[in-house]
Amino acid sequence: MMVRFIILLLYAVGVGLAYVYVQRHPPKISPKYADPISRALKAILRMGGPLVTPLLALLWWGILPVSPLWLMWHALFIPVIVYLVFFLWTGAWKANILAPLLLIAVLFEAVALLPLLRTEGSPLLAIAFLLSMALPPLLQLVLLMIWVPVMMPMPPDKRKEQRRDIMAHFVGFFTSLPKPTIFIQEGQPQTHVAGNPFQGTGPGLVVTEPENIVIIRDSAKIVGPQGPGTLFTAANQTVERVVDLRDQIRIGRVRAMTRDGIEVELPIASIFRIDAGLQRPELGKPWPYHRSAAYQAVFAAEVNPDGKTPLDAHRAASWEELPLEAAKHKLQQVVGKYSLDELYGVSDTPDDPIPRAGLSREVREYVQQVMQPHGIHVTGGGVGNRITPVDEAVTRQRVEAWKAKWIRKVMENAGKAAAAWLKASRHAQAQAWNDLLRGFIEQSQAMRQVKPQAAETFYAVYLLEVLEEIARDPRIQPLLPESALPALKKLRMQLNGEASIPIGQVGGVNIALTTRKGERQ
Amino acid sequence: MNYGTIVVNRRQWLVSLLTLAAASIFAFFLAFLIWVLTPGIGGHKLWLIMAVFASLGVSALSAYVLICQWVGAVYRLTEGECTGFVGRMVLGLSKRPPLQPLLRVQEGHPAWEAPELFQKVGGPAYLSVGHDSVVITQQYGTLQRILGPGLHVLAPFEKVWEVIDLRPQRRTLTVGVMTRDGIPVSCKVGIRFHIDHGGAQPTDQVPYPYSEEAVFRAAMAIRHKGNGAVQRWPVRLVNGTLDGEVRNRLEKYHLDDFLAQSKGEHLIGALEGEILEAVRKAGRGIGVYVDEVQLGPVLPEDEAISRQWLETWQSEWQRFVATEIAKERAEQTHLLEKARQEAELELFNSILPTIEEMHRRSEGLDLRLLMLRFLDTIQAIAGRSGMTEELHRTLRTIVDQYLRSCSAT
Repeated sequence: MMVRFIILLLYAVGVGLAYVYVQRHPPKISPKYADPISRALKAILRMGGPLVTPLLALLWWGILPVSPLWLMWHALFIPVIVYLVFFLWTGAWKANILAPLLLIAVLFEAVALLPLLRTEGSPLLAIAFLLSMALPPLLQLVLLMIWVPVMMPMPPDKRKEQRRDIMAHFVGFFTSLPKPTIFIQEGQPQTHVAGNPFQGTGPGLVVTEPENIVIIRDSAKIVGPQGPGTLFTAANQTVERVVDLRDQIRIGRVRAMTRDGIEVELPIASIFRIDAGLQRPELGKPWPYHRSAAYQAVFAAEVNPDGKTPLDAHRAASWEELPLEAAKHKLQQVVGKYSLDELYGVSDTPDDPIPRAGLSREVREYVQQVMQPHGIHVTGGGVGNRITPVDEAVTRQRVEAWKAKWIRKVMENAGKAAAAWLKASRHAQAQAWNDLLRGFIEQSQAMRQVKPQAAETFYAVYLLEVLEEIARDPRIQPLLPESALPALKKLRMQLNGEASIPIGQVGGVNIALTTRKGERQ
Repeated sequence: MNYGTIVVNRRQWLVSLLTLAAASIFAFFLAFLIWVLTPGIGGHKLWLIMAVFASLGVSALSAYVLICQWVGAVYRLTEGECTGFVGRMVLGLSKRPPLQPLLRVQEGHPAWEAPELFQKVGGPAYLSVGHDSVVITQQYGTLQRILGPGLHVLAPFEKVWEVIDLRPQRRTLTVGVMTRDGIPVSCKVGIRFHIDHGGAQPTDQVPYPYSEEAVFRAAMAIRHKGNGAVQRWPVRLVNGTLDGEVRNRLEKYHLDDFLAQSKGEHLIGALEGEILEAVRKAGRGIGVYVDEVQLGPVLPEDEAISRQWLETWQSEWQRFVATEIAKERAEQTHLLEKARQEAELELFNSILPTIEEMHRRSEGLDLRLLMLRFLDTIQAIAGRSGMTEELHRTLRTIVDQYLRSCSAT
């Protein structure tokens, strides 16, 4: 009684320890080759070990008329047979490898059972023993078959179809040498479970995002585009390329020579995607694409060793670079048809077309035409506005040309200012003449009522007075001959003597002579 | 799969239960068999029967542990994430608060502190979408559902693929353009836009209405730029559409068209309307409604341009100032004085020879000769000075008058 209790206790402890061990020691995935049988045994140990059936078998000691060793033997073999049958069903191993092993195990088990079956009263009990040993692995496998497919990101109908593949993948993981499990994240393959795509057990797993598909390679052959979604890879199959089905945009800059020999740099863009015809993504449906288009696009990628290290020289560029490369080439050709001024569309009227639009169209149409056979649908793109001459002097010259107009305006303004000044001074000069003459005229008008003889004398007197006054001006005096002032004085005296006409009263009319200083005389 | 119920995989749960029940029945059968076939061994067989039943639990536990290990490796989950995930996949989600695991989405993105589990496997989980966001989910490699504001249950492996912010968006960018005369200029452009309402009006409960079609279009507007970078709908509208439309229009004009103040302002206003229409039309294609476009002044990038323009502007004012100064100067007395002196000197010089001749000969004063000379000079000065017609006429009258007086005597 105590012994059985201890065995039961040991069973509980054994299960606990096995649980802890399994938790702490997950399978160490290694790409190192191991033979298929040892892999199968490793998987059986990993899966069946936590069941601790040998300790369970010891509880039959004393109930069945056999030795404990015999019980433990069966406790090992019966689960092995169950697991081997299961492994064969999954297809994780080739039948010709596991079937002989299974056959040997069954034969060993059958031979070992013979003495028990001959014992009187024991056959039914023996069957009960066998069932009790088979029950734990069977229940474990049934539960695994229910639960494991659910853990796979697949629609229910696909899960049902691929149940064996799913279970094979599961079992392969516990052999420590599975095929790789790869998730495509952000367009990049991420290996979650490393393995060996050639010798690994079970199928490999590839899970993509809705917008990605993968090109699968089978050794030297290409299987073709697969996905999006979850897919299993067979032996020797690897992910060759990941293809992004979303719209792609690539932007670059191109250097080209204009017709007038000026090197310019132009921004260029290309928008494209894998050809899907008129189909667009919809909810609940896989991202549309033409399989042939994806295939053609991926294998249209070019090898160009220019500017690469010897290590990278043989690596093909991505298909996503093709449209922009084609556009660059065409743009260089097309730019050569235009002079720099034509490129800018130099014109006085805004309604004149800008050649850039035509240039963009020409390049886009060319790229569409060239990319179509490669399965790439070009939806847009063109040439940016920022057409920059490589030599800064060209832009500088344009700036200078622009400045010239404004400099002319500056000079025009300066000229206008000078002209205004000149005009004003001329006007002032004329005004001065006018003032002088007006003085004479005013005096002469006053003389209209005077007798002609008196007027004659008056004019003479007045004239001499004015002349004398001018001659006295210290600023003018140096400019006159020395004899000028004495001559004037003499004439004045002579005239005063002859005429005896007092200045200020001529013919009854008051005359006010105004000198240039404005003094009244 | 019933997304409306809390137990996500009811069938799964039932099948598991039935399997365990069947195994238990089988264990009972075994226990019965042992009990019947071993009548004489008493309590010994009780331990065995207990062990048989225990082995069922061990089997279920080992299956669970194995699945956790496999799931952990395949999805790169931590131990805690694995056990939780497998538990939810088998038993379903708990409906008791706190609702866990819960992914909050608000302000146009999933919460920063959200567990990585949501990226790695997604549901089953709860998803809380804020009033300002809409979520598009993916499952099994296809785009699955559009989930608006509210609490949702994510189905197994259903992940958030894209979050669309429903709030009005404003962006400002500086667009660099080459003018028609090849001069680099830049223009600051502002734009305000939002996801198309599809005719729905905001209410007290729904401040940001949306149409599912517009949301889907916006989500699909994503473009891959290479090296993992993507261009989402706001960037596509602003950097892909708006800047293109601005460039397409500004490049048709010369720099001076933008610099001439009154003309430039009018032009910018007209272009703003054109660009708004064009961007609005393009925005519809990606589920976006553009409220407004604000076009700033077009400014030359080259410093020389700005300097030259400043110089020109200065020259306009300098001209004005110079003109004013000239006017002022012209009125100054020294100019007048100088002119007067010149006039007087000329007058004197023209008469002086006659006077000197008279003085030299001492024949007496010939007033007539003197006056004729004087008047002749005056007339010549008047002719040169640009006198007014009236003044000239008066002078003529005086000359005539004098000549008449001379003839009378």
